[in-house]
Amino acid sequence: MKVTIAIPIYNAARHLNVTLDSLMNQTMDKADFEIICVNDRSTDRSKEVINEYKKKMSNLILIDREENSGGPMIPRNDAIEAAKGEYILFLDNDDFIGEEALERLYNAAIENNSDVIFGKYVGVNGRVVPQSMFKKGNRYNADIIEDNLVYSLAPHKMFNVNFIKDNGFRFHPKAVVGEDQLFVMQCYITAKVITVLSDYDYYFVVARGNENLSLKYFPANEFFFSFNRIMEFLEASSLNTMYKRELKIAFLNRFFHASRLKGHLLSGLLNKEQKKDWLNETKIFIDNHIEDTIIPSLHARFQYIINTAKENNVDKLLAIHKHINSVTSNDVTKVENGLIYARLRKISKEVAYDEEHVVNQSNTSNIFINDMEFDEHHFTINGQMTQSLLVNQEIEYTLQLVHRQTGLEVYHKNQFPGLRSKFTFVVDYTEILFNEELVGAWDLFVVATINGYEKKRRIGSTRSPYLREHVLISPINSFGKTYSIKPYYTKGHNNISLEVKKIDESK
Amino acid sequence: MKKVKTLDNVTTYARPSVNAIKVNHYEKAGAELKVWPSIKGWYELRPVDFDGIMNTEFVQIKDVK
Repeated sequence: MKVTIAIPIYNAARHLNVTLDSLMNQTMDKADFEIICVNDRSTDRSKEVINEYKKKMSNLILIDREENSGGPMIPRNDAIEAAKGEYILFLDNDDFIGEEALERLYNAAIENNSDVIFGKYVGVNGRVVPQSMFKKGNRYNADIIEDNLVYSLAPHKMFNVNFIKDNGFRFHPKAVVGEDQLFVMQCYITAKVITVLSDYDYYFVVARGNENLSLKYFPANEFFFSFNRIMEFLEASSLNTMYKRELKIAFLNRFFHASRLKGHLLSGLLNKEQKKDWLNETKIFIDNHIEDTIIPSLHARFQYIINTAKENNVDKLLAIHKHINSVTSNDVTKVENGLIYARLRKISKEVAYDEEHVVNQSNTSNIFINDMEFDEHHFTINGQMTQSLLVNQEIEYTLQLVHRQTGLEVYHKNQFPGLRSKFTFVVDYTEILFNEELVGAWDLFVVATINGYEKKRRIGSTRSPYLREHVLISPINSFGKTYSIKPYYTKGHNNISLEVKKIDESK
Repeated sequence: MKKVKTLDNVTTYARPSVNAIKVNHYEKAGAELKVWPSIKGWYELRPVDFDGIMNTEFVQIKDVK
């Protein structure tokens, strides 16, 4: 048996036919896969629907649980125990898969000896699904950090059954929130090969419009159960120290970005007592898993939350959260190691503080191109850039030319660095004409830097109204070759780019 | 979202596949459908049931204009 498909079923009668229909129409031979539906004491007609399909599908197995387990974790574990396949795919009873999905996933898994494999997700009915890990094409041996896999922690993947059994991985019954994240992270960390396929529409994640029902209130300790286990598992793993640190940063950034923690602590969703409970558990989580040395490497917008949460004071956290959104350049005290610090001071009966916090997230920028000229040998760009929190700072401006196809970057310094917020670049065309393979589009950016802090802006979309079109520059000689350059404004974003072509002189 | 009209004899499906469960059939051309982008060759319709729960329904791009 090649594949087991595990479907936890709870009150799914209405849509289960679409899920099972997608399995009935697979290109993989029916004898090569089995479908295990684990009915978790549904109170609707789910069992009847499964039994109707059983008449048409000899590879469909029903496990009818004797008591409701309260979530998909134990039904998935039941399916793991019963699985006869080399691989197991977890499918939800609302979703469906592409008709070639099993065949393609299994073949790629065998070819690559994958412990974990998954394919491109498609959101249905407006459902948002992660996409960033599919942008580089098929990744036969994907990396958790490089391929952004921490943003794909849903269980809708295929796992080698021996791999999960040998490692004792199961969906933890106590993990009522993030149960899939705990399981998938354990697998990612331990797997020798993770394969990500983007060449087909593999898994359709369907929104039904009732997803908010699952957002009921959980006590904070239940919420943190999975995430504490994930951090403990990562810490105890045999990954090398540097990778472990980077993975920890990647996971924590994902955790603070995508989990409901930030919303629960900072919005009006919870009452004060509930917030105290959540903040208390947050402090325990931070104390146990986030060393002070790691905090500056996390996204700037989470740093004040983490630093303040450690004090376990709800009033102060809420006050700082409100205050930090209204800082101005007058509050900025220093820019150091890429971080902008502002002094936040408040003295009231309820809450008092006087401290520095990182405020990178509040810094916005404006850029304008006053003039652009393209002559026989050079092009000149004059412009201005301002940043809301860095008004009185000595900023360095650099023009960055990026070859679109290869990503190669060429830098050119500001010609007149003394002029605050203004830049002038006079660039000899030969600066980008040093390799005849670097033809095609070059995109232009201005990078403003100060003490490791960097703000990068694409240029051209905001410019003087008379800058509409530029002539073709040709011929330009460089390293014995002849080129032409056509400056143009991109469709859509209206930014400036240079189209470089090599001229064949024999013609 | 955009509005399109069916051509003659158009069938919609519960998945983006002609092998899938058929949802609706429009014999005559001109039925107006609200559609959203989906995978290559297909639009999705996002039908909402009487109680607010969404079903799935897809139509081939070649079957509408």
